[in-house]
Amino acid sequence: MAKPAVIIVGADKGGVGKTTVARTLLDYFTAHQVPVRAFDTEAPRGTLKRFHPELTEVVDVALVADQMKIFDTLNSAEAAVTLIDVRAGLMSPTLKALRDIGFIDAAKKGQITFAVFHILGPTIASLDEITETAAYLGDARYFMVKNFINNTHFFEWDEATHASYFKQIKDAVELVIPKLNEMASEQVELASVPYLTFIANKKQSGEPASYSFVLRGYVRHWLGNVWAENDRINLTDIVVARAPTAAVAKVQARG
Amino acid sequence: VPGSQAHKPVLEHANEDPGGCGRPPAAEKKHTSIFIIACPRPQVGKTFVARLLIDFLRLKGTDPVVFDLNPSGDALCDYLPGLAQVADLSEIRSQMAMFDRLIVDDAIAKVVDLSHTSFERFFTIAQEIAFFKEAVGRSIEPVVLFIADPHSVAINAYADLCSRLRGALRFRSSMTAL
Repeated sequence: MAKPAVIIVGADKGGVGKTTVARTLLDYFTAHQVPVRAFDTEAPRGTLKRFHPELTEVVDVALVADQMKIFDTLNSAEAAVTLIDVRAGLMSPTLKALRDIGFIDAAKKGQITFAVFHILGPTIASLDEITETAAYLGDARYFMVKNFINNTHFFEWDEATHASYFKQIKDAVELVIPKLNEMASEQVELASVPYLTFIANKKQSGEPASYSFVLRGYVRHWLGNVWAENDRINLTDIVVARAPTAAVAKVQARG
Repeated sequence: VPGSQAHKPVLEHANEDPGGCGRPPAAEKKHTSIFIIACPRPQVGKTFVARLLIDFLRLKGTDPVVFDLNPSGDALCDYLPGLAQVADLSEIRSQMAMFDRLIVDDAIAKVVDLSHTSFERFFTIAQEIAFFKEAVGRSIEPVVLFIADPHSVAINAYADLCSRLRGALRFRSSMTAL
């Protein structure tokens, strides 16, 4: 039996591209026929929901009722993957809540696949989050996502600084999200559709659209590079991992 | 350059069937061609060839859509101010204005006069946005007129272009001077 997988996409700092990465992941799983559902914590309006309304529900992770909606349904949901787009400032509180409800222990016992995509911006304030985040992680798979929202070098020119942030967490994996042309990014934003729908020149309703061929080409090229990173870390293998027999029995007995 | 043996254009039918099955088009619909006049070397006669080609197309009865990526010096837009549109590949809006127009299958011929400084950028962008693949998918015929030049830069660029476009197109590999 496949283990339910939970992916948290987040950062405490704002404007680093959390929802952008969450959108690429939803497109990736959809394209690879991995059933996925998403929770958008940008309550009450939602951001991710605007692009993926059919897959996304807006929740307030601070509310116990909404925490139940997410975590008590992991085994019963049709989706193999539950993706949570955590809004700015809520990353550490969310991880703390997960620890408090025993979720991180369940992941440690192999009952759940748990992965954290920590979106990093090119500032010290953003990189300073790494230590704090890692403290909650237990056996979670931790991905440090370098999101190139501008032409930054992520301090690679200063080896000591770079190493102090990116080499400190054992087993952490770096992921690179290249920069998408600004106008292409804005055009998809305006269209309010998944990247794949934009590339296919369609509206949210499925009707043909008239997006620029050039911008669609840039988005396709960029998304291809992002997905190559997901392939590199074998993301689909990670999320469709099977639960150990004992753990499955235990979960089923509880259910 | 007229009379020069060194600078003869090579007509590269990028979408030509190498098997030469010789079948006529299924429908009577006029096809759309995109002529890209290119060479990574300066002063080899690109604009001259572009002017000849445009005159030929106009004599056939229809004004082509013309993009000039060589706005400095002896430029196409100076000869054909009402027809040639200046394009700048460093500007995304200009890229959109050009490529979004080139990719329209409207039976109107398109001519691109590519400067030596724009050569690499043009084909890199075209590859990135899958321009040639999309053109072929829309039954548009891209034609590269590569101006032959004995300089190693041109020879290497031609070989590189052949290998880059081969993945996206059916491509005649021999470098045949007209």
